[in-house]
Amino acid sequence: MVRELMVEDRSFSERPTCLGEIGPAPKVDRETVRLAHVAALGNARATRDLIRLVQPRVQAVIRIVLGSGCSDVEDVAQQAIIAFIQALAGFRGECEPSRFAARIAVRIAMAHRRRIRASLRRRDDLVDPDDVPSYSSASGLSILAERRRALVRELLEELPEEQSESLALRIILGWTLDEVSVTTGAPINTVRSRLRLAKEALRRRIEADPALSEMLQPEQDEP
Amino acid sequence: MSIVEIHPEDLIDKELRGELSSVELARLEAHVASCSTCGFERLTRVDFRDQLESEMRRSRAGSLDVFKVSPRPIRVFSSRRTRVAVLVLAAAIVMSVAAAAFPSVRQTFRSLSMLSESTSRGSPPARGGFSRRQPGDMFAKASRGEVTLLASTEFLRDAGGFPARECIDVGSRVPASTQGTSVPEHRAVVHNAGVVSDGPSVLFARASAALRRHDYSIASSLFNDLQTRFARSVEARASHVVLGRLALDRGDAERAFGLFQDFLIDGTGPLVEEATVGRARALEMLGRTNDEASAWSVVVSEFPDSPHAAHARTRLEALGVR
Repeated sequence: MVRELMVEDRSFSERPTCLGEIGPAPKVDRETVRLAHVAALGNARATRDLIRLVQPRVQAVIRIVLGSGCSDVEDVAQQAIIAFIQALAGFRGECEPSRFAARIAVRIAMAHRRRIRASLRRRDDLVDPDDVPSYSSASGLSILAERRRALVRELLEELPEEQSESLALRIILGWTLDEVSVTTGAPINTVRSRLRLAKEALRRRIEADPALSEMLQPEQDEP
Repeated sequence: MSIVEIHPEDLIDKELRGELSSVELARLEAHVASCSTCGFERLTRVDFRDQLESEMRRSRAGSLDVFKVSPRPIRVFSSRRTRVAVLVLAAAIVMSVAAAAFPSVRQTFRSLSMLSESTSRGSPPARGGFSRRQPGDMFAKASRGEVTLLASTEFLRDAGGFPARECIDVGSRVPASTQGTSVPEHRAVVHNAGVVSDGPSVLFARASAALRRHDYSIASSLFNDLQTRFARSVEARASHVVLGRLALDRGDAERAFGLFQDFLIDGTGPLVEEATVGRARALEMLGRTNDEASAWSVVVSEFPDSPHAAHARTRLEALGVR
């Protein structure tokens, strides 16, 4: 699975980009980009330092995409870090290495979710125990907020890959359209279009189920 | 594409960074009042931002030691298979010499040859000191060639067990103004509303919060209060557009037209475009075709690059206006 993803990622990164169509690039720390390039050459120390740099973000992203109840976080985090190291050869330095790693983590985590979903379908199970939101573990966090997050995660499994990646980078990681465009190498209007389609799917989900409208309600503000 | 499906994504970004002006907030509220997906995105992005902050803190605190491997001494031979093969080879040389001199050693020599043969045929080696659920698994697979890794074996040894708290975070998306708090800024404004004086911005924020709760009667009441008490304030002017959009979406075209018209008498800023379009839509709903044509003409002439311009031209064509 890791190999498949990386082949895909390399082909993506090698795709020629039309810089004129992409919005202004976010500020990039040249030192960390240089570190990534040195690591890509096989330097052990640089690779270790780079992993230290990106590890917290990768773990956090994977926890968020998989959900707090998933027991595979550690394994998926390993896969993501390995995939990141493998993909460094194709890293162009147009964004922070941690962003690059976060994007890979999102893709690996989404692929994992899809695989689990497919596996459950084959076994004809009704409920994945890992997928049940763990409200009790989300101490201090709103149950409604967790339900909204769960809806987004479910949607990520159902959408086409490009749309779900754009939606994840936008909503889960909170990136701007320009940042999504630069990191994915897609023109900004393509990103906009993918997000529009993803939002239409989201709208259909909300409209199809009146109970979901409750998720649109924010917590009651204190007086 | 209908008008309401043009999503003001940049405004949601600015709101999360705490850079949204009250006029922009009014624009956003006007859109969110009628767009369920943007309303959902707005709430969910705050949810995920809070969770990302929490997870980053957790990762830095080292609660998840992904790269901890079992401590083991550094060996001369990095692979167990190589080690076994070299030892067998050395033993074979010694045994050959011994066998030449002592026939009783030949039986032992045969046993060792069989062991060497089974190893070279690729019988599964032991796991090399890594326990199952540890990241060393993947690195071990990498070193066995099951996963290709660019880093050297030396790195694989060194990568284990570094303290997670030393990790540095780069590119954090959390605005400085909200670091250290889990209360989203737009909610904090509302939370503070009872403490801070009841000024126009506070009233506007409370009304906006009511809108987000879909509590339209309270929102209308607060906006009306704002218009009565602070009629000259920017917030009161902006509230005409928000209420206008709300009235339009609820089918009250007459009231919507009045509100947009009130704003446009001396309105300035980016809300003028919203109000002009809103006025045209209200007139469309009222069936006042001549007025509607004039209103859409204003949209086309004043805002030719607007995302609403295409719809305006379509309506003008439908109304027979060139």
